[in-house]
Amino acid sequence: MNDSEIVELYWERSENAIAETSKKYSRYCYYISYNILHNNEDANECVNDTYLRAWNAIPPRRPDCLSSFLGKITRNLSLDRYKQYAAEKRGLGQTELVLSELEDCISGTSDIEQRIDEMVLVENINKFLVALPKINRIVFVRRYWYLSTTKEIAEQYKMSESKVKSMLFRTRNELKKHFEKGGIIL
Amino acid sequence: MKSEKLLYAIGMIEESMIEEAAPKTIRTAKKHGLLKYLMPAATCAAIALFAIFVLPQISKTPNNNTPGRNNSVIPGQQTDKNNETNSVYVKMNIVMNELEKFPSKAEGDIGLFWDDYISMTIDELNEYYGMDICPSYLPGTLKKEMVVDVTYGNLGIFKRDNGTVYYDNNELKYENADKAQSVIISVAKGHLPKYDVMGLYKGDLKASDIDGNTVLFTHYNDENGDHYYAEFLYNNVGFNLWGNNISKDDFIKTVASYFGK
Repeated sequence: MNDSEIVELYWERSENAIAETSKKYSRYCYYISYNILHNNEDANECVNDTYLRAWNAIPPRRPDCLSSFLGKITRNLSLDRYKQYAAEKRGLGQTELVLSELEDCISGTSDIEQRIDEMVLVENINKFLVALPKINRIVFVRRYWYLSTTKEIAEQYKMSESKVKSMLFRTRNELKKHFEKGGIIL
Repeated sequence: MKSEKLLYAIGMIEESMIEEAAPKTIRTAKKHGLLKYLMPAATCAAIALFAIFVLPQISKTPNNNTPGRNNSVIPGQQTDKNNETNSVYVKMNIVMNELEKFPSKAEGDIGLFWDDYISMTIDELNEYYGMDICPSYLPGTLKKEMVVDVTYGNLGIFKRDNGTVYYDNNELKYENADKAQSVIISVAKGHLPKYDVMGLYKGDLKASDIDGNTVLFTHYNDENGDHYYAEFLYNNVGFNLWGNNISKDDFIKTVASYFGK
């Protein structure tokens, strides 16, 4: 079943919508959640919660890309659950590492924190990523959107792990400069 | 936390970029890889003639983990029918090849598109392969329920709109409570799914025979413990099996349980 047919099932309020979504995207959503949580049970719960959120969101929404729409929900749910982990000090997986790497993009020189609108920040990241060479962009998104390990990225794109790490390091530095140029201080 | 804010913001980037970077490929092993771990004489001398085994048949035996009454290794003994109706005998000639190390994978990539993915239950998958891909025997210490995580137990195939199935490797895993012991099974239709160790070692390993079927058995150790490995084609389905930290007898019984199906 293609995505538009699945979305149509949501609009018809057919319960098959969830079954079809699960058939097609459970593995994809699980991949995202598991990278964040490293816990089978919690990842499965986040995937199931994703279907419920999708059920509540469609209609009124009609996502253009169902995979990314579901992936975003799963990612947010999993990150929220990760916060609970962190509070309970049982965090595993890539999240802590990724958070620590992203510190590189944040200016530590300003004493005054500028509160910026989230959408401005997203827009800036989009602009930055669009301007990157394709492979750098993919590697960045795999690491910081999918929270894939550097080893997995290296294997997938036939690079050494050290090359992936140095590419990410350079990209983070460039993102930091991009933010500074745009007057964004996180 | 600032980096957390950034992580959430990255979560809202344009969908085209998320799609572009979606994990569309997975790790696979090329059929012919490096020989660098080849032992000079890879076969070990331990050739045993495992003759009569009593294997429980999953459809008839209440407890799949219960080995048959006569499960000892009796070199040279001939196959015979058992009087028990719930058991079968399988004739085996087992050669356990000792490896210094399991061959490292030469990675290949297959483009897998999520739009082509069809999730399946184990019953649907059995129907697709044309046989029961779960072993009829498992060591008693292992749980009978398959592990379901990002690698194992998420079952399905990748099929194009024109009906061509272009990737059907699936991974099953059974493990004990503390996860130290496990049996891992890779399956694919028509070919060995991940490894062709026999092909890799180009005749330096000795094949075993189970009920007229050719099976490769190897044994090796690494930092994670003691491992047995087997590969074979049966009913046009390819299998790679690993037995991790289980006994040799248990591993052979697990492998042999496929041939009574």
